[in-house]
Amino acid sequence: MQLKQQPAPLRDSSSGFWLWVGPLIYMLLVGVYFIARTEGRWAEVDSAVFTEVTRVFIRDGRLLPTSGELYPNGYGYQAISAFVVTFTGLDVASLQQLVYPLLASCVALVALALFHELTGTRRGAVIATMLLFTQPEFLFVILRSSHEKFTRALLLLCMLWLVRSIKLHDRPWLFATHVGLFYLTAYTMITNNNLLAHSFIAAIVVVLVLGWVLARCRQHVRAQIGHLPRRLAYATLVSLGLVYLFTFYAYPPAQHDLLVLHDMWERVAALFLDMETRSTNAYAYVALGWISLQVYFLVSIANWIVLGASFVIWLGQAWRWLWRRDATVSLTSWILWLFYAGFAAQGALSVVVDASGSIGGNIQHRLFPSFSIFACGVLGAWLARWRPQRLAPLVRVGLSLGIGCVAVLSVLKATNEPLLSNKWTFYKSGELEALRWSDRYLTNADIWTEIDERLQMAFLLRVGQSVNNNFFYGGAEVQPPTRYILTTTVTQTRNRRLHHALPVPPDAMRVYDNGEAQLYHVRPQTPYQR
Amino acid sequence: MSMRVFASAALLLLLSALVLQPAYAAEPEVCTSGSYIGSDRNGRPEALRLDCAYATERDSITIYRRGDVLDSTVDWRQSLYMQQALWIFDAGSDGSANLIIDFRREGRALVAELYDDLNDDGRVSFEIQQGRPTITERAQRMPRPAWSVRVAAPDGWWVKDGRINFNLAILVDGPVRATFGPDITYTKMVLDGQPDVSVDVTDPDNNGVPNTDVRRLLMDLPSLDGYYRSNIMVNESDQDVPLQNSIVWPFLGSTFAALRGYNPTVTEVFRGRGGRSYGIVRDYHENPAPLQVEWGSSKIRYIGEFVASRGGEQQWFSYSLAATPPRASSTPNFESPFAFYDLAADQDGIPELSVRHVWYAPEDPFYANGLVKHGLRIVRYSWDQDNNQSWDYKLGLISSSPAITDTVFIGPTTLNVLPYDRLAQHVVEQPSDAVTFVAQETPNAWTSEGIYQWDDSPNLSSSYLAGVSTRIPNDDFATIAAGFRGEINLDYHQPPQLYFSPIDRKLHLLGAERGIWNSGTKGELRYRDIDRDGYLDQWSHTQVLTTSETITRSSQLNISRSHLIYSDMDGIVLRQAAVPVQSWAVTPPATHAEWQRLGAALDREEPAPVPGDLTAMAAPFVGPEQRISGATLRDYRATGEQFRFVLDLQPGFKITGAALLDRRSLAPGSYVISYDGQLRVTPLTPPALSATLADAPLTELEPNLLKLTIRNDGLEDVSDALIEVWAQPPAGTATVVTSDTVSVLGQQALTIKLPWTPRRAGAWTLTPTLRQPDQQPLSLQSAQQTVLPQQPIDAGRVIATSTSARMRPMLVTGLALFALVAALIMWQQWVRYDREVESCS
Repeated sequence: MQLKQQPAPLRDSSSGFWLWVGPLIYMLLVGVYFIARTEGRWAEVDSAVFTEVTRVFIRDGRLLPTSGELYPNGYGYQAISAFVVTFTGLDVASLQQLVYPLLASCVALVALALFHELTGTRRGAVIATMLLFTQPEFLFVILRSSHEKFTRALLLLCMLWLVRSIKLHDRPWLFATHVGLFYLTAYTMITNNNLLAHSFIAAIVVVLVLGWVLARCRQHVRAQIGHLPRRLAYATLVSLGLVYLFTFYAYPPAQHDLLVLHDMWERVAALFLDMETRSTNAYAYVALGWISLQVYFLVSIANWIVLGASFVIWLGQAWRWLWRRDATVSLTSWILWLFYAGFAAQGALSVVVDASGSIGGNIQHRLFPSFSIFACGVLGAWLARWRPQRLAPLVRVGLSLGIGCVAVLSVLKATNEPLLSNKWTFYKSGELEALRWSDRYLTNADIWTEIDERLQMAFLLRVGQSVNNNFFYGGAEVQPPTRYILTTTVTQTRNRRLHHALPVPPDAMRVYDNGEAQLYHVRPQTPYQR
Repeated sequence: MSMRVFASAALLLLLSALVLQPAYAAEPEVCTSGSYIGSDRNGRPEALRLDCAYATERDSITIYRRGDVLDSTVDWRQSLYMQQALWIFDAGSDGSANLIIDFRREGRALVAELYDDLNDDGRVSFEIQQGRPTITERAQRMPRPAWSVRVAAPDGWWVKDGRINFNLAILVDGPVRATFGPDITYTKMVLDGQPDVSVDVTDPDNNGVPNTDVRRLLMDLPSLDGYYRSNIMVNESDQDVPLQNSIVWPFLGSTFAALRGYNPTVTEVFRGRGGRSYGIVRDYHENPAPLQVEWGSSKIRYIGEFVASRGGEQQWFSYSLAATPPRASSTPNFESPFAFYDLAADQDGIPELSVRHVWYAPEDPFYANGLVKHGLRIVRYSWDQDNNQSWDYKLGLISSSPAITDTVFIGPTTLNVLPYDRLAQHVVEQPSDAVTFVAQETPNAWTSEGIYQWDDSPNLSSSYLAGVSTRIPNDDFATIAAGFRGEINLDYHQPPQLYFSPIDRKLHLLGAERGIWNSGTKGELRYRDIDRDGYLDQWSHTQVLTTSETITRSSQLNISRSHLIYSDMDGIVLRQAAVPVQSWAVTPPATHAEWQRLGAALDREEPAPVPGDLTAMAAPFVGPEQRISGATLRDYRATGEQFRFVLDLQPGFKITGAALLDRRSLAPGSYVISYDGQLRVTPLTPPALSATLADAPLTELEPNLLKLTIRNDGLEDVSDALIEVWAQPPAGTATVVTSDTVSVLGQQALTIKLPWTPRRAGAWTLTPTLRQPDQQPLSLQSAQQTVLPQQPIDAGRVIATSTSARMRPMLVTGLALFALVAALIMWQQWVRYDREVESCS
């Protein structure tokens, strides 16, 4: 009778093997599949840009390169990559394409440690971790080779040190060690990406404010969360100080962030005050990226399940913990609940900002993985304690089969599976050869490559900047004064599936053909079109 | 030994005396008297006060010597110390300082630091403590007084043996106008202790005539904003106008109004006058002292040119948007160089040739957002042929250009620019893509930069010539300002040549396609090269007369190889006469000799008829002539020996004169008059158009070219008509899918290729439609065109495209494997509650 009302503390029956090795093996397999799907020939914008900035970073040997591409939001990723390249002798492109996707498996270890702290059980940790790795948005950002691979891991690590420091406040040495580790990790995260670090600090601020308000309004909450607000206040102040030092002293290009924010608020204001201003809806393009809206929802189903289920659980917890004044809620449960609210608030705001069209409709995509960490935590913790009295075997089978299915669907989404996605990120060796040839024999030329940046990024990632000042670009239209057009069998296949016409005039001259890719020179119509 | 020591000491003393000899300015004219004032404990004067008139009739300069004493027994003219001295300028002698100059020696160099008003109270604050002045003027947020201008003479002298030292390094901090450029430049200049502009003046041979004046913006600027980051002025002669209106120190002067002697009180004189100062750019025959102070507001306003940019006849300058750092090689863009030449060799200080050479490197970000892929040269070549300070002709040469490999050394800076000596010859010898030729037909019009008309247009250099647009920007050169005559060829591709036409007795661009002479109220004369032989052969004059009513009068003169045809509102004159296409041809003058030759050739010619008097133009060419009154002429065209036009005869027309046209065959109506060795008269028939679309296989979503042949079986031309192709898919509505502008001449056929990408497969109906101005659209014969479908893309094709066959089994296995691993982990972790309880118990 008592068990029905109040679950007794459970003995954790998870085996150590599955706890640590299971998610690690799973992520390793996903990483191998990510590479194998394209036979290592994949490229996308952020990974290509980070490849180039890392090359420049290594060439210049400075945090602030004097020439070439520079990543304005931080130097951490470049510094780590430069270290690995120097240490191993790998070239940057191979590191990006073949090594870093495998490194995503290491995130599993950090996630397990954090979820273990937050859920209080090994089972909860493993379930939450598995749920997190079936989130396609999270999976995509840690598989590809941009700063997010590190910033997401560092965010998890920051949370781990923060939670442990809060739990260990009565053991001064351990507390001091964990506080120190938290700031060290926070600064590392800032050096990787100032903007994402901002959002993490903003979430802490939301948690701080929410916690303080709840503590003021509910006596029992004050007793349960104890010194949490004070610890968060210090964490916020010191982290902001670190951000300030980084932005204005360590890495001045990071001030670029401030410009971005300035513009963003202008646009948000425009959204609310004047609907005629130049704002765009980033979500209007979602369906275009997939062969159908149904497919999009299917491959994103893990997002919706976690989003919906975690929200229901979170609401239920709010009802029980706040209104029914549950006296048994642990501090870590509150932390999870509050951080869920903090990132959910940011997510809601990001939808508004994305709708305003600022920062390229990027914020929601950036914030959802952060939010999903806590959503999976909430859901994982609940699942670990869910004990249906009836149909339990069926539930177990269903959960296992379900996670297997969403794992496949999420991986299909995270890898932009060409069968389902219109956003192709693979390239063929013949295409790269044609790009190399064009760059060798053309000078100052604009070269149209495809309807999007697929081949442009492939060139940037594998080769780098053009040596002859050529400009490879993609787009729906051929922009004047372009005189060269590259077509490939992949381009033709993609265009036909999208029902797009190739912009090669019938009288254009084919000046290169390797069987897989052709370069055309558009016939001049005036003496000045050479 | 002691003698040797003594001699050495004496020699050292002598040398020291020589080295420390104060530098004196030339005898000042603005200051008429001087008096020693104050006295220290030893009764020696503390300062020298000069009574001057540099701003008003009652101004003063007070000189305090630093570290030494003044000798009241010395004539005041010998006490104008310009080293280790503080000069306080008091315009109006009202007791407040308007400018303070701190002269000091730094090592070997002499330095003058100029302090002006920084807090807008109209004066420069200072304090006298123990008979010594101390500057206390401070700018906001500056902890201590700061100079606005600092002049250094590294050689250690200002004036020596009557010669002024023009080897100077000047720094400017704050909003002192020191470089030519947009006003926004000065808003970026803030007095903050960091110099904003450097001005480096050199006179390598120390002859008192500066040779170079290089100015650079030093402040941080957004990299792509259009500031003139460098101003470089070079004097190619050894002569210049002496500095004028200096205020004791040769480089110090006043703004314009002060020099012109406004008389009332100081505050009224210098505030709100609206009068222009000298400014930066020197005028002809002027060389005002360059550091120009506006005494009323106590501010240094300008650092004028030491070397004239435009105000002379043997110099050049460069205004570059790209920086030209010292001790480095760089390629300045924009006006680099802008040169002036004494083509008449009269050394009168006024140039007869001005060459503005604008240059941009390929993808120069400062031009058209870097869109232009080739080097670009835009030249304005203006010359004064009769040496009366009025530009007569100008060539606009707009062309792609190879990189400039010539180098010019300006002190420690290496510039990639065309050298002054070769510039003029070079630009007229180079083939140019597009050429304009402008003649200024109104006398006594002058600018310091040549003739501005028809230099370039954005649609020309950054679009058409850049290959961006296929449309010739003729509209940009459709009009010209009154008093100018302009000619153009936008596909020239050869060095410019000029010729003298015996018809209008004017100088023309050889190869001009068309031209326009705007003679204001006297009408507008448009002329063209109809037969494309490089010589103008058609003049059309239009004049709008507005009295009690508005009347438009028009006339036209057409010149063929064998005939001369004049027409106006009254009728037509057809004259059989051979008219030479040119009297003589010439290259544009780049040297004194060429300029003289051209002048002599022009002088030999008879005066030109007044603009629009086409009969006077035709008069010298006599021959058998036939006059037709009550007739009009239109649609004149010519090729080689042949020509053709439409003759409209009104009822009551009359024919007189020689029987060139068979008058028996003529009655009221329209006729085609053609000449192919003999004149023929054919009744005009209206356009009879038909169209044929070549049947070629088309494929869905593939760009295709529709081959359309339009035939005009009538005699009347269809000119500048819009041809549209309307395409109607099966069970759909027709839309315009492609169009072009065409001219289908009488009894000729025209074949064009029109691009079309069918969006879907099926049997389309294509209908060409012709639209002419002020006429109903004319639909031509429709044609059926089958568009073949494309092969659909199935999943197998996508898989085959995206991965190799050997990888496919592995990928499927991989997907199954990690699905299995995920399921296993969940199976293992999620256990039944009762088992947990059992386990617990």
